[in-house]
Amino acid sequence: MNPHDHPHAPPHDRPPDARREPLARLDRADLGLPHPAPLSAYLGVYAALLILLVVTVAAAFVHLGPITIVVAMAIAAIKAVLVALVFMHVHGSSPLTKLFSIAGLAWLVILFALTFSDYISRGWLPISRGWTDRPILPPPPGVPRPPRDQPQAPPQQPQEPAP
Amino acid sequence: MTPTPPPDPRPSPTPVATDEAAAAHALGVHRLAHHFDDLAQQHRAAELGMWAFLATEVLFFGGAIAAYSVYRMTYFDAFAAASNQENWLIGAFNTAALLTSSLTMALAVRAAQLGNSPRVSLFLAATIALALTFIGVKFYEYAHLIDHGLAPWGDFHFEPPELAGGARIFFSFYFALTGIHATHMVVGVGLMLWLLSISLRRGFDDAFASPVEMTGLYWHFVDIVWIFLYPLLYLVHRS
Amino acid sequence: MTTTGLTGPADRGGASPEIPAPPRRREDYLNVQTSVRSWLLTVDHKRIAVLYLVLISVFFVLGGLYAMLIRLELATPAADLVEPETYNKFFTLHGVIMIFFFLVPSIPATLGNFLIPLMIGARDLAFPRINLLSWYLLLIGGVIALAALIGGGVDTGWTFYTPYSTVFSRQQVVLTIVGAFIAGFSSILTGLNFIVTVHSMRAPGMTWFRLPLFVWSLYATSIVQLLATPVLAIALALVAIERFFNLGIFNPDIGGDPVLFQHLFWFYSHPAVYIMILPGFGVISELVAAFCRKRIFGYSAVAMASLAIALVGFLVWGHHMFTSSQSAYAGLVFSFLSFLIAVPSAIKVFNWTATTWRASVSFRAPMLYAWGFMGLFTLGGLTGLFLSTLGIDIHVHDTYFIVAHFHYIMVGGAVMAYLGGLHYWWPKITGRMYTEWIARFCAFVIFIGFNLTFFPQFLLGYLGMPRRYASYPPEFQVLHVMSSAGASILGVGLFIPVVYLLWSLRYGERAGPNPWRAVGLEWMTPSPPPTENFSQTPVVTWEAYEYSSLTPEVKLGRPDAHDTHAPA
Repeated sequence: MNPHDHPHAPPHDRPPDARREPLARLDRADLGLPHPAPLSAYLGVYAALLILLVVTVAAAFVHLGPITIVVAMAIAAIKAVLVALVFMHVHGSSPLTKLFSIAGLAWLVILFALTFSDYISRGWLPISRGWTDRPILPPPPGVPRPPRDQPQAPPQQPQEPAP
Repeated sequence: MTPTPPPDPRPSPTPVATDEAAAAHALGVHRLAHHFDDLAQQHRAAELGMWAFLATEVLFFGGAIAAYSVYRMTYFDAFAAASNQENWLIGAFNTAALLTSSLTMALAVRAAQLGNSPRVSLFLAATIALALTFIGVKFYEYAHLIDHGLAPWGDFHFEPPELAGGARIFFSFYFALTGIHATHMVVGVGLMLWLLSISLRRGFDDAFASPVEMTGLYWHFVDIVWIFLYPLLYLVHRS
Repeated sequence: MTTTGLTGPADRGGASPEIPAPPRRREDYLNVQTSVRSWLLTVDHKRIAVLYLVLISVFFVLGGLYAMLIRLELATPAADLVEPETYNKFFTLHGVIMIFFFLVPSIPATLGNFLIPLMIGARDLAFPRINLLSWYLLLIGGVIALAALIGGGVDTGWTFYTPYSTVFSRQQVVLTIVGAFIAGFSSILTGLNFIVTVHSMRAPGMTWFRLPLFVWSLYATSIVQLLATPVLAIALALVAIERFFNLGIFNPDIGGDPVLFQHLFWFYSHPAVYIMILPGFGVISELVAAFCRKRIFGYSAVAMASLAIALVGFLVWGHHMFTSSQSAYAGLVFSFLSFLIAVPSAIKVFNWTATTWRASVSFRAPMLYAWGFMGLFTLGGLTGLFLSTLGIDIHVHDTYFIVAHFHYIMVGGAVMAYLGGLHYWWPKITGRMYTEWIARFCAFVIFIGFNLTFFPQFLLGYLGMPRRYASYPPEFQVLHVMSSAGASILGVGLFIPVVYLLWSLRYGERAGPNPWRAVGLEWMTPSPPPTENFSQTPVVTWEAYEYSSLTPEVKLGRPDAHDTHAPA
């Protein structure tokens, strides 16, 4: 007997078996709602996330020098994209939803890029010693170098204020 | 542009809406709000709204991470030394717990979309349990740091002393970032408890799984933030 | 719902005709329920707009009082009215209240809330309950800020610069920050609501390029509200956390960088000025179209310019930090981008002006405000170009030149647009017309008072008068006295509308659906509108601002018993 013949049949009486799924999908599709993804997708992503977690930790213990942060963030980004595409159903969503999902990130890139442009270039000016007495990145060719009157002292680390 | 005839006051295609409402009612759903024409529009609006909210959260956490990054760039040695005081294994365990909670939440959403309320309750309960585990472990970590004088307020001391200033900034960000993250988790747990109460009492219809779906989006976002926080805070320079 | 409302013998059971009962008024959103509870728990966007109108008017009066105190103090060279420490609180609270509690919500939360569903043919916004929550958040934020005020005030400047705000100030910094934080949340939710509404709830036939430019402007504003405000939230949160827990995030003593706070703060606060002016642009577009009875020249350009301003507005915040220890190379980049953003604003001004060419211009009060806007905003905007120039900014930063610049835009621009829009849509919101001659008189008084207040400040700033100073050398006094005199005239001009607008609620002439004979969906529904806005969902088959057709027969539903009256 089709449960939909009884409008007030409580939905949780229906046993969760595979025969119900196509019916449920049809109803949701009739109403214009997105249908659920297969179980394997979720489990596959979960496995990938755990594997990538192991990779993250392992990579941290390998000496990669200055690209450590790049590798770590790249792995984190892959994990985030997997969560977004599958768990958050961005895959298969409307173009507008996809646009909304990356909007925050795009604006964050603006924040990072222009703020960092300040800090990286602070030490380049010959008139300013920069914030920590040495530039974070060396100035590009053509930019005049800060004056060096004596051998460069080791960078001053901030001190604890006296109690 | 040809001259315009008087505007057409034809009504919108209401017959569909009536069938819509009847179909929705037949499924035991009385959830179509008065200002929407159909469930699909309502669902689309809810989805866009939640993603817009998550965009604001990206910028909220992102701003803090940007500030953190500036200091990490400048005081790398201090940040490395301070980060190594964190227990990476506990952090990894917590990350795994949160990833698992993301899976259970996704499965709860899927169960709601299939109209399977007992499964929804089960997976929601699992997600809540994992979230509370995470928060519990976090408190343990906080207590550990405070005991070792690494809390940036009060009695902070760090060896070697020339790295102490940068280390204090690191721990300021550690507590600020993880504290704000934990607050978001508590809100998520609250939402899940609310969903659980609905799921246990009257259940979710497969035609109206929106609350579960939107909470799922929120929870996955909280997970994504931690995916970035873990390497940033625990794995600065372990090699 | 009756058609004419007149009762007859049939209604009285066939009794003989007596003196007929007065016509029962048609049900609208104002009279459908009148209890306090129905207002405070409403989800009708129109009622929420009226709630906002009342709330931000209260904040405007409070912020205006502080402005009066500032101008009183500055009428004399010495710090003789109050101590300098108290004066610091005056300008801080003036800024915090005016920006966070008046200007940011003003047009979006009142006119936007009321009009967006009407203009797109929807029954309500996408999230009516979140709309109500937004109002309560603004109220709560305001109460908390008021508590901070009563608890001693705050003296950091509305910019909360560190380390003064985190380490040295002994005032109610955390409390004020909490108030501003909550108000910011209100702003975020309003923006979110508008964006989703415009995407998903437009009536059939209402394509993007048939939208009124007011909707385009508010859509652009909402993007900014949504994406900029969270960064303010985190900046303020970090300050509050640092202050509360005695951390060291922005404390130079242990290696923190105060300029980092400024980066995070201005990442919001520069786009915030676009939050404050973009809705004004939208209002002006509507006013110019209606009172020139002409389609806005270059509709697409104006629409796209709104989006361009919203986007480029995020790229220029460093021009507030030219004299901080920000890198000069970053300063160069920010300076160039700041020049760039003048372009879309200029496009709008050119297009409005072009619209008035060979148009049938009427000089009703809203249009007077629009003319005032176009002149004063242009002046303010041009001085903005001066400030984008690194060399000039070094000279005039932190002087009264800056103060004059932003007041020209915020008062001469945003407030005038707000008043113009309020007058234009007053018949739609309340069902009553205001008194025209006094409205025109006030527009002139405001214009004169405003210019007398703020033009001398350009001169003061250029001559070196610093901002946020309670005392100054005596040679500046003449200009300061002019400015204070102008402020009193401006205050009178801003006060009188309160009187005649409230008067009109009871005694004003009743307005029909379309007293201005304007084109737009909001003019096709009765004044005031019924709760569901339209008796049936409109289907839009015409372009925006279709003034070209000779007889705009714009009827939906039945003609109202009190039909339109022609404008003077």
